[in-house]
Formats: sequence, structure tokens, C-alpha cells
Amino acid sequence: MDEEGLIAAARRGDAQAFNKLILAYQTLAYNVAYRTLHDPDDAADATQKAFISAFRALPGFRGGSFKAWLLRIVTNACYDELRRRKRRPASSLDDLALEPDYSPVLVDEAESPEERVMRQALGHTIQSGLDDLPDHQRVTLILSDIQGLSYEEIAEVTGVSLGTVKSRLSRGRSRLREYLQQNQELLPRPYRPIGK
Amino acid sequence: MLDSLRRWVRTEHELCQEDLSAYLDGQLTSRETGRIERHLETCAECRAELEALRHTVGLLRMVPEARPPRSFLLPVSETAQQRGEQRLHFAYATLRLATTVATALLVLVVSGDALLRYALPRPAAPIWEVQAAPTMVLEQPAASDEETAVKLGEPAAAGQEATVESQPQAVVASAPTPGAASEVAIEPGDSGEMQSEPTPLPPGTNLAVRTVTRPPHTSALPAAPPSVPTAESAQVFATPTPELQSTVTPPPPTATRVPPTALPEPTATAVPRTATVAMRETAPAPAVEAVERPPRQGLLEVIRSVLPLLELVLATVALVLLGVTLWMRRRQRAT
Repeated sequence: MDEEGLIAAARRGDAQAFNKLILAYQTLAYNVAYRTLHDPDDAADATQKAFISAFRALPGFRGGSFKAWLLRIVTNACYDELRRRKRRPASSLDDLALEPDYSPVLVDEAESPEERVMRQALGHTIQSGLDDLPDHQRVTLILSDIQGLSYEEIAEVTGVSLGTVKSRLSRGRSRLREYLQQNQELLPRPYRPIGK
Repeated sequence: MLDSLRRWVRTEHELCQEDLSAYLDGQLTSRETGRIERHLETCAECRAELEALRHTVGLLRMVPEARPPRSFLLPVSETAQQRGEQRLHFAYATLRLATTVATALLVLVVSGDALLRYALPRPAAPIWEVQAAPTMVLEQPAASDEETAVKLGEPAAAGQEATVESQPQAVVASAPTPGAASEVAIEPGDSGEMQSEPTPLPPGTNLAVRTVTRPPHTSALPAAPPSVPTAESAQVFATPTPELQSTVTPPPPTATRVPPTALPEPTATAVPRTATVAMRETAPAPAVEAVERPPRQGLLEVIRSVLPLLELVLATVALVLLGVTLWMRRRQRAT
């Protein structure tokens, strides 16, 4: 069944059909949540909540890009979590500090073990740079440069204008570029020459 | 001159810095692209920045994809939950409608109350107070519609309460009747010649015009005045004649109240068909208090007294409904 058929069935309350949609989107949703929250458990919780919310809100889905609609729910769940952390900063910071740099990645068979390790290290460094960004810039950067969404899709997901997407992206990239320049030693050697 | 040129160059440079990111993505118009490219030819700083950005974006794209730690598939029992959710949607719609209706009712009642209070300020009460020594002339009932039948009381067994049936159309007499003598014409019906002594009833009996009472056929006069409940100051002539119909003349379509005077010896003579009873009200008639209200007046009073309570109840209901509606809306937004 194609996506539209699955969506139509899920709208009628068919959880099986919605589960097929979840299978198609859970990696994307989880990755957005994980890069936004930088915590596997929080990201999993936010993703699960987002899927449940999406299933319930599906009758209100008015067509258009299902991916953008779903990611909007996912990012909203992430913002909820971020707000919760701000309300209880101490415990959250402790959790983050104790959190090992654990990021099980999907295995690319074509990749050599060395490359995999290097990319993982790159991922950690980039994640630290992302953590440094304001929430909106981070989400925009994740959607654009990690997940490869178009400006229009990002505007739909984040509910802002194209101009705002453009400026958030510009500022986010500049800021991340600065961070990476200042923390070059954290980058694996092949990725290092960055900046002027 | 040089300053302004420098400012222009700097502005161009800043513009370029802002647009480099979109330039990388090919999101600029051809005009903006041309402008940036011209600037890049002359500005090494912007070229370096562009390269650094390009490198950063390249690194972002290389970030490995994280594997979800578990599956997020929903238990199929979610379906039941979904149905419950749909029921919730329906409940929410109903709730919204109920809130709207309650609010509209509240507005209606409040404005009705305001209208009653300020636009129609107790029209009848003063009229009653004016009626001092009204005269009642009871004539032989004409065939007219205006005939007013006064039921005075049931002459039946003692202890039976005289009842006055009133119809809502009864209108309050608008002017007191001058004169002190009242003539009552009574047609006694089939009971033949009759002399009835109107028995004064305890004061406070309601007398309403257009009140037709048909006492049970009795040919006997009441031995004792029928007791009337909640008497205040009015007097009612109890005419024991069966099917007594009397017309109160002075104000044709009006409700007439019997003055609260003691009727020492009122004589109602009932002659078959043409009998005319002259009733004299000898006692001084003090100013009558407005003790009686015609039925409509009473209804208005009841409504007036009930309205505040109704408003309170409606306001509470509307507020509660509004609160629940807002809470549900918030919950729905959250999910």
C-alpha cells in the first residue's frame, strides 16, 4: 500500500496501517529528536510521544507533506522536552554530564571500521557544536544539513517563513563554523582544515 | 566620498556574509547571485567564509545516522484509544455548542431582566392603591363578551374555601369608580326568586374580572361565610346563587377589586331574569392597599423574583462549560 493509502487507513483508526508509516519514518524522526536533544532516552521518549500524538491527530491532517507534518509533531515534542529541561535544569544537566557519548549508528557495510570510528568522532564534535546553538537554529540546521529537507519543508515543519528559515540557517551555520574552528582539535584529522 | 564608498563596500560585504548560506544552497535569485559572485571576486574574506561554510555543511552531511534504540510501533490497542479520541472530538463539539447556547441564554435572560426592571417598571401597582370606595354595579349579564363574571365564593359546606378563578387576560381597572353605591344585577338562573344576602368574606380575597365561577347548583344560601384563605383587605360578596353571573360595570373589561370595606347589610336581590340588586356599601372605604395583583401581575412578580436565580444558575453553567471547553481545547492542542 502506498503512503496515501496507509494514511487514509490510519485516519480511520487502523493502527496496523499507521505502524507501517512508523516503520518508514521512525529513523528520521528519532534522528531529528536525537540531534535536537542529544540524549538517546529523551529522544526515544519524544519520538514515541510524537507518534502517539500523530496517530491521534491524524484526522486533523489536511494533506500535504506527511513527512513535514510528522516532523512538526516530532520537533514540538522535542521543544516540550527542552522546556522541561529548562524547568529542571539541575537534573537534566547531571543526566547530560553522565551520559556517555553513546550513539549507536546505522552500520554502512561499505564503510571501513576506521572510517566508521572517524565519522562517529565527527558526529560527537558536530553534536557538541549543535548543542551550543539556540534551539531554533539547531533544529533548522538538523532538518536542513543533516536530514536534507528543503527550505519549503523546513518552513512547514517549523511553521515560519522562508526568510526566517534562511536567516536561522545562515546564523546557525556561521555559529557552528566558528565553533568548529575554535575546536579543531576535536575533529578527526581528515576533517580538520576548516576556515581561513 | 571615500567614506561613503567604504560604507557601501562594507554593506555589500555584510550582505554577502548574510547571503552566503543561501548562496550555497542555490536559494538566491539570479540578481542576488550575480551580486554575490561579483563581490566574491573582490573579497578574499568572503571567499574564505564561503569555503568554511561549505566545509561545515559538508561535515554536517557526514554526521552518521543514529539507530533508534527501539521500535516505536504502536500497540494495536491504540485503535480503541483512537475511537475514544474520536468520541472525545464529538464530546468537544457538543460541549462547544452547549457553551454557546448557555451563553446565549444567559444574555437573553439578563437582557429580559433588564427590560423588566427598567423598561416596564411595575405598571399596575399604583392603580390598585388609588381604588378607594369603588362601586360595583352588577347588572344582568348581557350577552356581551365584556361581561365580567364575578365568582364570589362557593356557598357549599362551611369550611370550603371560596375559590376565585382568574384568567390571565384580566386587566386591572384603570380608574377608580366614583360613587359609593353599587348595583348588582344578578340573574339567579333557574333557581327562581331569590334573595341573597351577600355575605362578607374575610378580606383579602382575590377578585378577578372575567372570572367565571360556576358554583354547584345549590339553592340554599350559605349559612356561614365561606372561609377564604390569605385574606388581606378585600371583601368578596358571596352570592350563593348557583350560576351566578354578574357584571361589573364601571370599567368594562377590567378586573375589579372589591373594596375592603365591611358590608354591613348589602342586599342582593335576585329576581328571575330581571332582578336588580342594589348593593350599598355603607362603610367608609379606606384607601386600598394594593394587596391583590391580577394574575399577570403575579406572574411578572414571580418571573422577577426567579430571574436573578436563573441568571446565577445560567452564569454558573456557562462559566463551567466555558472552563471545561477551554481545558479540553488546551488538551487537544497539546496532543
